[in-house]
Amino acid sequence: MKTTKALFLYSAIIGLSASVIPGCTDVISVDLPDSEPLVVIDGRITDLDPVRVKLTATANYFSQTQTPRIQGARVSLWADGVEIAVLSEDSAGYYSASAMAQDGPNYSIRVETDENDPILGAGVWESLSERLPRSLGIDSFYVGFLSDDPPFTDGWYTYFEFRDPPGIGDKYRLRRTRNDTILDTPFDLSVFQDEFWDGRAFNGSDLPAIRLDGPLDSGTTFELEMAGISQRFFSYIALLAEQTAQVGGTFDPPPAPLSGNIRDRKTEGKLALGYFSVQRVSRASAIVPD
Amino acid sequence: MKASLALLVAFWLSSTSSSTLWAQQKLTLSGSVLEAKTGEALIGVAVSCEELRQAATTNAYGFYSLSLPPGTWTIRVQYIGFAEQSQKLSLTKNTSLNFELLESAVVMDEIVVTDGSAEDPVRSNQMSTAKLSIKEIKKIPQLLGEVDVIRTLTLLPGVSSVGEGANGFNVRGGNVDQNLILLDEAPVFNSSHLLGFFSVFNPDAVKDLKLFKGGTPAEYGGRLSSVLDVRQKEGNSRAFSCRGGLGLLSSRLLLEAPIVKDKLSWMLAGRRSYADIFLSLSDDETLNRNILYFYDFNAKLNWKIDDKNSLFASGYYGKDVFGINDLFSIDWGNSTTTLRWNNIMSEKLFFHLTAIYSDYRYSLGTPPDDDFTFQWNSRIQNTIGNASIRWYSSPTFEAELGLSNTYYVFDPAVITGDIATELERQIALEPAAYVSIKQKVGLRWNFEYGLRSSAFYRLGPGTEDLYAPGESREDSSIVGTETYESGEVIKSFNFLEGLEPRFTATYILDESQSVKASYQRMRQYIHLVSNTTSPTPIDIWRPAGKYIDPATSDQVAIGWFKNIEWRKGLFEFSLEAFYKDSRNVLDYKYGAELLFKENIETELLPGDARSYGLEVLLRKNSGKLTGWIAYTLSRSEIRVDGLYEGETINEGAFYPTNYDKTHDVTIVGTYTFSPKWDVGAIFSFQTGRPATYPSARAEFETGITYPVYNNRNQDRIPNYHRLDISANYTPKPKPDGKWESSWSFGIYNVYARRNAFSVYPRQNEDNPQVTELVRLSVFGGMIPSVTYNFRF
Repeated sequence: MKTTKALFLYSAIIGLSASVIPGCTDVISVDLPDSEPLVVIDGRITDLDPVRVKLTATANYFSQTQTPRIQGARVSLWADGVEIAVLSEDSAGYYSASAMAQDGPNYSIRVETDENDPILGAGVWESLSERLPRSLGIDSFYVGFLSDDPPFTDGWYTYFEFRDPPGIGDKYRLRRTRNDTILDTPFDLSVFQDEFWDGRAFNGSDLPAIRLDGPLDSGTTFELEMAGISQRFFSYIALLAEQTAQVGGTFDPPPAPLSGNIRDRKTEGKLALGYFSVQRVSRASAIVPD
Repeated sequence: MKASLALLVAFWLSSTSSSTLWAQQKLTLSGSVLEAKTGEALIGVAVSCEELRQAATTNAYGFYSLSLPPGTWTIRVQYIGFAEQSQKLSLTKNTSLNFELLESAVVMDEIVVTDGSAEDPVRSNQMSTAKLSIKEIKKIPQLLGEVDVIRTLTLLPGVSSVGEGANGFNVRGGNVDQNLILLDEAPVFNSSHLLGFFSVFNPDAVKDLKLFKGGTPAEYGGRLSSVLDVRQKEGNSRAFSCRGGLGLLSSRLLLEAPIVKDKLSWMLAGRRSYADIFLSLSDDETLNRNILYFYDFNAKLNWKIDDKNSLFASGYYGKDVFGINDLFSIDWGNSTTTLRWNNIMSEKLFFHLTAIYSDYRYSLGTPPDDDFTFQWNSRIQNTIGNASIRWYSSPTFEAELGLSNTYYVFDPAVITGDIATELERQIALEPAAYVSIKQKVGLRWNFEYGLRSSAFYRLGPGTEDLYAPGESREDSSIVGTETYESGEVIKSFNFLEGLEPRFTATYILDESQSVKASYQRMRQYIHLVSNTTSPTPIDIWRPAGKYIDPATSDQVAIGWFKNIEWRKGLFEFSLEAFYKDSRNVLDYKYGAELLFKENIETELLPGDARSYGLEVLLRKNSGKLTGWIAYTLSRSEIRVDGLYEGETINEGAFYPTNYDKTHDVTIVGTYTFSPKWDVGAIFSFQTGRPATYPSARAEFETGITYPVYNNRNQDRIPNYHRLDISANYTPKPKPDGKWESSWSFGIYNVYARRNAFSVYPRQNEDNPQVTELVRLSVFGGMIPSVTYNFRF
C-alpha cells in the first residue's frame, strides 16, 4: 500500500519540479534499550524429511550480527507423549534426527538447557503437538512461455497445478528454490487456504494453473515445495509475513508479537518464540529451456 | 438517571406553564432570512428586538420565530459579513416578516473580513462545537490548492488525524468510525477521496458546516465522538450564476439558477481529478497503465411551494477509481439522496419530514478478460425516515420532538468470477425518538437539554455460530449454528438500554464572558472493522448483534468563553476541558484476519477507551488580520483485558491509541493587504503519535529476521511540524461586474520537513544481517500549488 500512496503522489505532483520533492523513506537512528535474550525454536518434521530443529536466541534489534546459536541443548522428539528420538547437534544450533512424520501420531519437541548454558541458563520448552495434515500434493509443475499479456513481460514463467481435497480447512505453504538458492525474504513467505475454492482444481480446466515466477532466464532451475500445514502454522506464517513485509504504511496493520506454538515449561508465562511444525510436503522441479 | 429525568420534566412543566400564561399577551413575529443576491436561506442569523433585548437565531432553513408583546419595536437583523438591517415594526397581530441581507461592502480603508458566523460564543449555549465558513477556509493555505473542509477542521482544537493522507479524522480521542458525517442529513460512510488525501465535500457546493465534539443536541445520534453536519447550497433563486476553479489536481464547476424566480431553484456541482491523465503521459510503462481519479456531483432542487411549505431534494454521488497496471482495480464511493419537506404549521411550530437514502459501495477485482477473474462487491445501504416538530414557545423556550428510523442493509462481500461466493447479508433496524429543549432562565442562564432513546434490532435471515461455553471465540470452538428466518430478531438492544441524556448549561458572567458545562451519552450500533493505521476504503462495517455489543460513551466538558477587545480588535477566547469514557469499542486480536470473514467475532476484542484533555482557542474573526491559535493537550487510551489467552493487550493496562497526540498546536493567520491581495499561513506542531518499536530481533528459518515486540504503543515517532503559506490575488472585477476571478498560490510544507507518518522496522535488502528503523514520510518536500477560481 505504500506503493499506492507513492503512485498517487507521483501523479499529483507531476508537472511540478520533481527536484523539490526528495524520496519518502529514509533510515533513522533511534535509541533502543538492550533486551534479555529469549529462546527461538524453529523446526519441522515432514513426511519426506528427517526432523530438524534450529535453536537460537534473540538479540538486540540493532546488533547487526547473526543471532546467537544455542549449543549443547537436549532436543527430543515426542509422538503421542512418548519420546521417540533425541536429536543430535550437527552444527552450532542445528539439531536433527532420522525420524520422519507418519500419519496418526501427535508430534512435539522438547528442548532442555542446563544452568551452564551461557545465553539462556537452565530452561525447558515444549511445542504444542501437531499431526500430519492432509494434502494431495503438486499435480504438475512446468515452465511455460507467456507472451502478449501486459503488464507482464514476455518470457518463461513457472506454473503449477494441484487439487484441493473436498472439505474446508486445508492450508498450504509454498517455498521456492531458484538455482539451488532458497527464496527466503519476507516477500517470499506464501501461505494460502481453501476457504473459497474448497475441492476445486487449479489445473487449467476447472481453475487456471497458478503462475509463480518469471520471466526466468534460460537454464534456470526452479524447485517448488508445497506443504500441507496446520491452521496454527498458517496463522503464524501469515502474521510473520504481515509483520515483515507489510509494515509502516498508511494501510498496514499495527505491530504484533509473533506467537508460535512453543511454551516455556520452567517459567510459565515467560515468552518463548518459534514454531515446530508437522508438514506433508510435495516437491517438483523444472528447468527453463534454451 | 432518575434525577436527570425529574429535572427535565420540571423544566418542561415550568416553562410550558409559564409560556401558556404569557401566550395570551404575546404575538409572534416569524419568517425567513435570505441572502439578497441568491435567495439562499441564511443559517444562524441573529434576529432581535432592540427595546426588549430578546433575540432568536435562524434554524438550518433560515426560519426564525420571536414572541413579543404588542407594540412598536425595532427589529434588528445581524449576520457577520452582511450589512445589518433594522426595521421599525408596529406589532398588532401575529406577523410574518422576511429579511434579505446583502454582503458587506469591501472598501479599501475599511476591509471587513469575517467568518460568516453570527453566533457569539459567549452568549450562545453551544460548547465543544467547531464552525467554519467556506469563505474562511478558502483563504488559508491548502494542500495542492484543493480547498478541503475536513483538513481545515483538523486545524481546530480537539480534531486531528493519524497523519498526512490518512482516511478520516479523530475527535477528542475517538476513532475515525465514531464520527457521524451528514450531508444534508444523509450519512456519509467514507469522507475521503484519493485514499485519504482529500475530503468528499466540494467546497463550492457547501453552504454551512458544523462539527459537534460534545454537547451534542439530542436530534443527533449513532456515533460516539462527533457529528459533522454539512449542508449543501440550495441554488440561486434570483439569477443564473456559475463558479468554478482549475487546480493542479482537479477542476470544479457549480451552476445554479432559478426555474421560477424565488420559488423554484436548482444547483448542480461537479469535480473531477486528473492524476490519471498525468500518469498516462509517463514513459514508464509500469505507471502509464495505472488509473487514479475521483469525481463527484452535488445537486439540489429547492421548491418554495408557498409561504408555509418548502420542499428540498438533494443528492450526492462520488466515486474513486484506482487501477494498477491492468492487474486489478478498486473503486468506491458514496451516494446520498435526501428529500425534505418543511412546513411552517404556525408562527410557533416548524415541522419537517425527511426521507434519506445513503449507499456506500466498493468493489475490487481483476479485469473481466483475465484468465482468472475475481470481483468483490460490498455495499452498505441506509434508508432513513426522520420527522420532527419544533415549538418556538417563547423567546426563552423552544422544544423539539423527533422520531427517526434507520434501516440498514450490509452486504460485506459478494464475490463473482471464477470463484463465486458471498458473505451473509446483514439487516438491522435502528429506531430512535428524542426531545430537545432550549431554555433561557433569567438574563444569565441558558440551557439546552434533552433525551434521546434508541434501540437496535439485528434481523434475520441469518445464521450465527455457537461457541463452546467458557472458551475463547475461535473457529475451533464452534459447536453449532443457529438459523434465523427472515424478519426474525437475532439480537435486540431496547430503548431503555439506549437512553442518551444530553445537557448543556451556560452561565453568562457578564457581557464579555461565560462559563459552560455539558454532559452527553452517545451510543453507536455499527462499527468499522479496520485493523490498519488508517482505514482503507474497502474496510467493512458490521452491526451490533449476538456477539458484538453497541458502544457507549459518556462525556463531560466544562469551558470558559471570553470576548477580549484589544487594539480595536475583537478576540474570542475559549478554554475547554473534557473527559470521555467509552465502552465496547473494538480492538483486534494479533494477526486478525478480517477480509472475507463471516464470523468476524472470532477476530474482535471489546475494549474500554478513555480520553481527556484541555482545548484552548484564541480567535480573531474581523479586521485585516484574522485567524486563530489553537492548542490541545490531551490523552487518548484504550484497554483490552480479555478472559482468554491472546485476548489481552499490554497485560490489560490502558495504552495510548494510534491517534494519541499529547500536544497539538496550530497557528492560522490571513492578512488582507488590499481588495486584490491577501496572504495566509499555517504553522502546525504535534507530538509524534504512538509507535511500537522492537525490543529485539529473532531469526526464522534460513534468512528472515523479524522484530520482537513487547507492549504496544509505548514509543513515539518524531514530532510533527509544518509551515504552509498562500497568497490570493483577486483582480478588480470587469466594469460589467459579471465576471469575477481570483488566483490562489500556495506552498505546503515550506521548509520541506520530512515528517514521519510512521517508523517501522526493516531487514536490509542488501545485507540480511542488518536490521534498521525506517521513517516513512508521506510528503518528503515542499509542494507548490496554483489554482484559478472564477464566478459569474
